[in-house]
Amino acid sequence: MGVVGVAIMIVLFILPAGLGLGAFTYAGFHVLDGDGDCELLHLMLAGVWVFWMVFPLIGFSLNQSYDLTRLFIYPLSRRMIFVANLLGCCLDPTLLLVLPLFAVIVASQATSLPALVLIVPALLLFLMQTIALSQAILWALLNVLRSRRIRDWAILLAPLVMLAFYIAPHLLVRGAVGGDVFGRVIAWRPSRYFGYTPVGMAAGTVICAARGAWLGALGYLLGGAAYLLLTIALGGFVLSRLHLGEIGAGPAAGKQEVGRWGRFSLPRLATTPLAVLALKEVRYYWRDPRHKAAFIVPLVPVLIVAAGVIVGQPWPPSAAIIFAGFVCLFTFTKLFQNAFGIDREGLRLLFVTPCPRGDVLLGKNIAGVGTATLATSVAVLATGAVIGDAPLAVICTSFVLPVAILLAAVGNVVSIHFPTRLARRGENPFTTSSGRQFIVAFVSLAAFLTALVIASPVLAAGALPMLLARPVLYAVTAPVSVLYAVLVYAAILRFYSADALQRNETRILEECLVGEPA
Amino acid sequence: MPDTPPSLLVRGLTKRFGNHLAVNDLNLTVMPGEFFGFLGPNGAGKTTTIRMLVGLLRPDAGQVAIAGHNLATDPLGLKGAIGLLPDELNLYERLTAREFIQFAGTMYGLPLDAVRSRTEELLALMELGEHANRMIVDYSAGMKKKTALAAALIHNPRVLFMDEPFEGIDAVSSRALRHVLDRLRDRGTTIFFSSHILDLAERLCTRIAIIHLGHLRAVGTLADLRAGIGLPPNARLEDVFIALVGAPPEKDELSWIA
Repeated sequence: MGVVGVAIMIVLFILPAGLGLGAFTYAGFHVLDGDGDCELLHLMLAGVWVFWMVFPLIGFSLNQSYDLTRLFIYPLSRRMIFVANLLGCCLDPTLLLVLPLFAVIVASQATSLPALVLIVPALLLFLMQTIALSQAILWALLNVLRSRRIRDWAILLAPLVMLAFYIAPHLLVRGAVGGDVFGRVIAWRPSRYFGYTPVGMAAGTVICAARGAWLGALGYLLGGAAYLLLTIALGGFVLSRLHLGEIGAGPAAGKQEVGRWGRFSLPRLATTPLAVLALKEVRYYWRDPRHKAAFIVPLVPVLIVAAGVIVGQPWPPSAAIIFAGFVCLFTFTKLFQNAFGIDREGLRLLFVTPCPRGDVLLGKNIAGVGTATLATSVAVLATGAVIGDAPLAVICTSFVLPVAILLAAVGNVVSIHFPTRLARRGENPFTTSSGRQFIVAFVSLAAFLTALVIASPVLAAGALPMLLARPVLYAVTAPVSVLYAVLVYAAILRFYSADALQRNETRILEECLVGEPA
Repeated sequence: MPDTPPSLLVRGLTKRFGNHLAVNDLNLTVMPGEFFGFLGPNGAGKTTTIRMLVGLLRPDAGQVAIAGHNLATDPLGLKGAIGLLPDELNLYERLTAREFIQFAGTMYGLPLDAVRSRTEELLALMELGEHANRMIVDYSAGMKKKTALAAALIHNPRVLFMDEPFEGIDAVSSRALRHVLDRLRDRGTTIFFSSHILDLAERLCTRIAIIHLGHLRAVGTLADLRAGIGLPPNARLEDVFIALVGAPPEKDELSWIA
């Protein structure tokens, strides 16, 4: 992974989440007393333990460097591979996720030198055991993880995990301020479930050492060491089976036919390049997990608005609905603003066909506008239902289509002049970050704002009946908005975009396929 | 065939990547029905040339006309006359083979019934019928190659460009493909063929061009090429190729292998 990619990942995701966990634990240690500390410690360490089991399984699908069978062709011993792999995991940036938590545990619980001497090794043993076990699970499931279907699911799970990263601290902090989250932790008693696991051994050592129960702390520490040895033995066993090809070999699972639901046959209507291109795009939205993941985004504004309702601070209905609509439309601008980047390798075939370039853009836009309109309308209606103003949401959905059409009109210009290569399968998207991507991100935002300026008559047509308190006017303003959007779209396509695409397609190919095999 | 317009006419085609001259002042004339071999070592400029000929790469200089369509003035007309099997498998991998071939046929303007019937014939010919409803992403390299080839053939192109068509294809499919190419050529289709497999080129090609470091070294029938460099009539294409391209003797040995 490139330095820029690592820095972005650390600054945007890992450090905020790690510091959030550390702050939450610190607050808990100060609020709770008695067995509260112990329960909180079990909960946090269990969270780390489970995260490390799951994270490599998702990460494997996103980053091919997790596949250590590639090392088997070299004359390296299994022991060397095992140790190097564990040490490599210790240098992984995700370790920053737990360092603040461990620092808080040490600072809060190691109140004496003997306690420090016991607590630090206990946490290290716990960390090594966690990493070793996660690797053993990863190796055992290697063949399953190589399956294309599993990789597709992992790509879908990744944004959900990111979503959880954003929403969980929000809810935790609100709960912590209210004081009831810590109460629930004690009531749930995580020690009942994790007491005899490596989590319990580490938490037991810390708590006993903090209370001066040295014998108990030593017992738990030895328990943690035993778990580590057991896990290393298990990891060695799995690695030896892997080395011999008894697991992880053979064809990867998942080579299945496209299901009936996803296999739309060539319909009678799809007799023109325009129609078949739109159909191809829809198939891609449905089947390519990187597109499908975008459909998770409409959940975000709905959940944020719902969180406001849950904590008793609901958004004003009009603000909530407009927020949901714009977040969704902004998310789907990538369908319009990088219309050729998402074609990837297929782009060469597309540009070698004699299909009129205006039809190429129109076909793509029909699919993109339809999809964006549908998803945004669903999000707006869901937000209206959550906030308790369904009629307003219904009215707003009638203005989603013209705004989407205008986003497509402007997006075509961006697609032609600022095409962007997307990461390939197995390639970490952060590695493709470069200075140019920041320029493209800036252009993308500017284009979105430009489209909104062009769409200002549409937005005015949406607001006017409300301001005049004459809802009946929507019967006129809604269709006129669509007509305005179609005319603007057609003018830009006819007088600029189609010819510009023809003139720029070799450059688009170079930009979108940069780094691909020559 | 002095009065027949050429299928492919290339004049002064040049492409430079920074300081690297990939193709330099290339001139070619290929007549209808020719099986034209375009050969050269790795990095010679074969793929760059093909990409320029089909309009996927902008030349720095030069003119290209295919089947009477000039690339600069009538690019869509030119693209309608050609089929392309590229070196890299440029497929929509989230489509099934059937969907992909149908997509290609429709994009070339074939009517729906022709798209459907030709797709089924091509799937059968390429032995892809059993896997036709699986996504291409799950195919082996050979199956992907056959799918791409089917998509290149569906509209019966007047000029077919093929960059390494036999690489990764099994012997059975290779034989079926050779048979199809022979029939296409008999019906007047021009085949522009790039390959590293010299035996195959020797057997199939009516004329051969050899390019090296962006320069066209020789063009003609195998007999012409032999005569041009003074090789005996029984010399193989490999001998001609090595003689034209050359290889410094020190490259034949590794210092640590005695």
